[in-house]
Amino acid sequence: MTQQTDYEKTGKSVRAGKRMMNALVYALLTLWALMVLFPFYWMVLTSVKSYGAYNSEYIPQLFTLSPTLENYIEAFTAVPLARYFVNTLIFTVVTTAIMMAVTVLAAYAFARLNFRGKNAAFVIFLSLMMIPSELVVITNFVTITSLNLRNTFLGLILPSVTSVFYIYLLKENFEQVPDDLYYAAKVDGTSDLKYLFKVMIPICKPTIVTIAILKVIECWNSYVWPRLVTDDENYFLVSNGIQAIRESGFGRENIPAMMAAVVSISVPLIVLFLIFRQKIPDLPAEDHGRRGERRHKGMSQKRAALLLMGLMLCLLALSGCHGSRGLEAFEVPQEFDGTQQHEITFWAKNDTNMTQVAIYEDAIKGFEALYPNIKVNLRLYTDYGKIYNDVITNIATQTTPNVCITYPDHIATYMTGTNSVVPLDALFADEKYGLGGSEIRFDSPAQEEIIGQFLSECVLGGRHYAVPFMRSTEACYVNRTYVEALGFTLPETLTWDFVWTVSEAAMVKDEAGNFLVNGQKVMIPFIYKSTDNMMIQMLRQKGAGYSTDDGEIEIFNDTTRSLLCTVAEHAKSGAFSTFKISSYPANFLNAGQCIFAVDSTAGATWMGPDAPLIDISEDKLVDFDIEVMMIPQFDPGHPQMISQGPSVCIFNKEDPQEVLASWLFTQYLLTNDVQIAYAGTEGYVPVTSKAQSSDAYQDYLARSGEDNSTHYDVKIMASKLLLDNTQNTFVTPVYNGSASLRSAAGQMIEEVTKAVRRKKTVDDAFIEKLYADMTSLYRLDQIAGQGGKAAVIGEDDLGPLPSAAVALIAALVGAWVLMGAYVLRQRLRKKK
Amino acid sequence: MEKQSAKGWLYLLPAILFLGVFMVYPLIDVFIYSFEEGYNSASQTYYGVGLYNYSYVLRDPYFLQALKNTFILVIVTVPLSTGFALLISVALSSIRALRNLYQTIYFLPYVTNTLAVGLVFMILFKKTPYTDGLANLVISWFGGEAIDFIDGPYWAKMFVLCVYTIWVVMPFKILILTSALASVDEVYYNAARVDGTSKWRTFARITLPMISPTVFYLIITGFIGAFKAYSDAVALFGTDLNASGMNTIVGYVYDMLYGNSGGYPSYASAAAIILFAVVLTITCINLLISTKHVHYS
Repeated sequence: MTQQTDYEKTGKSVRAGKRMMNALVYALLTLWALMVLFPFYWMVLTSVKSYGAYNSEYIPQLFTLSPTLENYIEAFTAVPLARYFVNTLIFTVVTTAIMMAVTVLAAYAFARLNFRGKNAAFVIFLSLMMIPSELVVITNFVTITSLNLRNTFLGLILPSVTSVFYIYLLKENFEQVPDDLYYAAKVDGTSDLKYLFKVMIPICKPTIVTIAILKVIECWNSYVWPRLVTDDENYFLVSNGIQAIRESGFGRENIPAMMAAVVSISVPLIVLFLIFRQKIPDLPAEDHGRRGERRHKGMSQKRAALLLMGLMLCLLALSGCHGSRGLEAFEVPQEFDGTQQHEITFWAKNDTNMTQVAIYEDAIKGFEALYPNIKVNLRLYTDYGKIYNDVITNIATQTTPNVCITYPDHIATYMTGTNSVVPLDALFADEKYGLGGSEIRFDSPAQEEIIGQFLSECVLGGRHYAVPFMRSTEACYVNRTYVEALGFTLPETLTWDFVWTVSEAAMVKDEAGNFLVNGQKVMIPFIYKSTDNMMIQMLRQKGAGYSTDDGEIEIFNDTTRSLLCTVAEHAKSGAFSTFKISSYPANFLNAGQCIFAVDSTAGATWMGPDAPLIDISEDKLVDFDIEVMMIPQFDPGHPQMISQGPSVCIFNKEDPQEVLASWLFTQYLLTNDVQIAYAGTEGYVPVTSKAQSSDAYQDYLARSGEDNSTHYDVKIMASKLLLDNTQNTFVTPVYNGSASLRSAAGQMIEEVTKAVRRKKTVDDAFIEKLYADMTSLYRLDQIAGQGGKAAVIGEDDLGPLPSAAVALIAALVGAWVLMGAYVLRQRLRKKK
Repeated sequence: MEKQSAKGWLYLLPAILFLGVFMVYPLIDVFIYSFEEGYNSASQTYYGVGLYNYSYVLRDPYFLQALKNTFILVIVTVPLSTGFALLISVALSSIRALRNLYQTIYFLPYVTNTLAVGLVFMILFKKTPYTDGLANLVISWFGGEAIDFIDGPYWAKMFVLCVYTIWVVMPFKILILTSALASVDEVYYNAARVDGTSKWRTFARITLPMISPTVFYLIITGFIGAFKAYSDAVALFGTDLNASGMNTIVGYVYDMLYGNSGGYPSYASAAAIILFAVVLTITCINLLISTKHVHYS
């Protein structure tokens, strides 16, 4: 009797224990499932929240009461998302197809067929698995570019095809098919190929399908290679498309639309996965083949080594052709051959609004009508930095564009290639085809008709290498209403002291945490868009060193230090921030959350409550009086401001006629129609006196305030600011590396501001370290003026190896020594 | 036999072509680049042949920062993700109901684009002037102070990166481990049960050794994969990784290729070769250990 009860009791407690265990297990599994699902939920949730609703959520809402599909519409119309889909589909299908063919054949060869050197070959294949794909990207990029396969599907597909891993996987699977089947088939007289198709593939179908699916997933999500190989939007795949949207498209501001795009690109794969879900668990998890492989290793290792060395020697001969392949210097041809067909590429920058694109396209149409034998292909960029990077890579492979919108800083680097950029003086002066030349079919400006100040900015080493296209400067857009509400009156010229004082005064909050001046929770009184310009202009106004004309760097001085400390002080209280940290000054200004917004005069179309272009939702706009003023000065009597704006340069080609054609198109960009139209899109100023004094332009200026689009008063005021102050503008010296120095200057302000926000102290030690970091980050020690070649070669100049590097090398060497010792010991043991 | 010889090579030919052009040739080419000092893309010139590139790269604070980031990522994510995946796989194998549902859910991250989902993580963790973000909301429920995980202190950024990386690599590991667990022969378990072995002992003495090849495989591939981390960081922090101090070795190689003042493929190559050396070393160590410790039935 007692025994029965005991069993019951233990039974009960065991079951209770089991149930608890079970509950725990389910709890764990459910927890992880929730953690996996939550980001997807958030993704979908955000994509159906309306733009306004999302941005006004101070505390993120976990659900929404009014879902909307507007973001999906926005996502598909604002960028060619559908195109990215199609591209990715083509890429995925073709790559997977080719990969399957190659993999099946190779796996079959290794698994079934016998041939000399098979084991050696297999060992080599396996060792190839260890090569990180990031390593080969470098050369593949050069290879593809030299074959002129950039921005083509072939260029995308070819390097992405093979992966040894799938060959290995399939080989393992093929090997599991019993030998007897093969022998039986052989007896029947089946060929190897037939056996492959009729027997092997059907039996191993699950693995083949699995591999195909894995490859599809890999292709769909591929990012690094497409990012390198395509810069033409038409060839973007979904992943680099998403990245492009995030950085320069609506993604910066419109998060819900961004999420809609993200959801859209995730859905196809998820659907595919759900359909084929049954097939995936068939991945072979055990390493059956390992044992067999080890047996073969010893015998074929020698063979493998020999084969590999032979292969490498052959390839050594092919590679290593890294040398100068420059062009001949350009000479102006006597006659422009009107019968020869030319196709020239024009790389231009446009803003996110499409009016500038329309102007380019009109200009091209007008030009092509006059010169029917020249066709102009337009490629658009929204970022100067990208143009710069792309040109650099294309110089190396001689696939530069013909005409390119650029900055003199960048041209200095382009010029390090032999005869890559065309010097323009001979072209300017040419009687027939020069500026205002006799044979030109349109009204091109003469050299005197280009504003001298602007033209001189395009001189490098005493020669002109570009023509100016548009000019602008920086302006401070001020919320006059708030300045006066704080009890100050705006002076005629802003001074830095005034700006700092007012900004600090605006930081006062009430008990509820709202700022007194605007009654909102957010206020950043002073936001600077381009910190590069900020530092450069401050240094120039103080007469402090920036750099010499040859590139000797003077920026790491005491004035810089004190400037940075001042910035840090004001960033600490929250009175100052930058675009990179906080976002567009215009958005804050228009929402009444900023008082002094400094941005280019070209950005005037976004500034003010009535601005024609707005990036925030309508209900957040605040009404105020906007004032367009010069940037803050240290010496109001002698104002100094930077002159900036795109210029145009021409790249050298083998055919001088092609260069001449490019030059003709460049001149067309300087005609009144193009100049006035483009200048009107933003606060730019035409670069020719011809355009500036023309009736059309004067009329445009006079009608300021007539409407809030073409004649938007803020925009025209900004243009007038530059027109009235052209003589107060300056530019920084231009040489190879000046672009890096400029970035370094701006980055210092960014770093100081960020450090303060992260509660670090900005003192002398910090600044010293900052100087050193900037020098490394932008490779400022490599700039020509700094001793250039000699400095580069001298290893002793670099100083001692940092401890982390020593640790790395020691670890690597140590590991190999230990491994060698271990292997040796094993060998000795075996001998005994 | 002889006739087969040519045929075998013929079948291998397409694979050899592709691999040769796009894998072996670049390997050698990159090797050569790394010894051509100060190679400048725009001018296509270099100063000479020597170890200068390695010297430069090893002294570059951004490379060392990238090195540090990558190492931390490897050391933190690989053990954690493998351990956690093991836990989940074992849990999964012990239930019957809803198993398929859970497996489907768990595999979702593998199928989605890491850049896409990384964006979502970024939004969840980022603190903007307008809102503190969801992560900080959760922290505030526990009474903590809001931290900016994307733009804030280093440890916060590293934390997000590790969390995201683990989230991304779990599906594959769970999948492989569940297959491995399923393939362990019932016979052993039955024998253990007959002997009255406790659950823990069964796990430690039977299950673990039986799946050790798989666990090992996951650790190796986990290490190698973590060393090559790049898109995860980009997804969270954007392409300017140097500025946020969250660069990885691969990111450094990439930035060197495509950066300002002309590309520097020589520095990129030197850094890439260093990465290769590290990966190679780890693979060899793992191979050596696996021949000694891994169990075969």
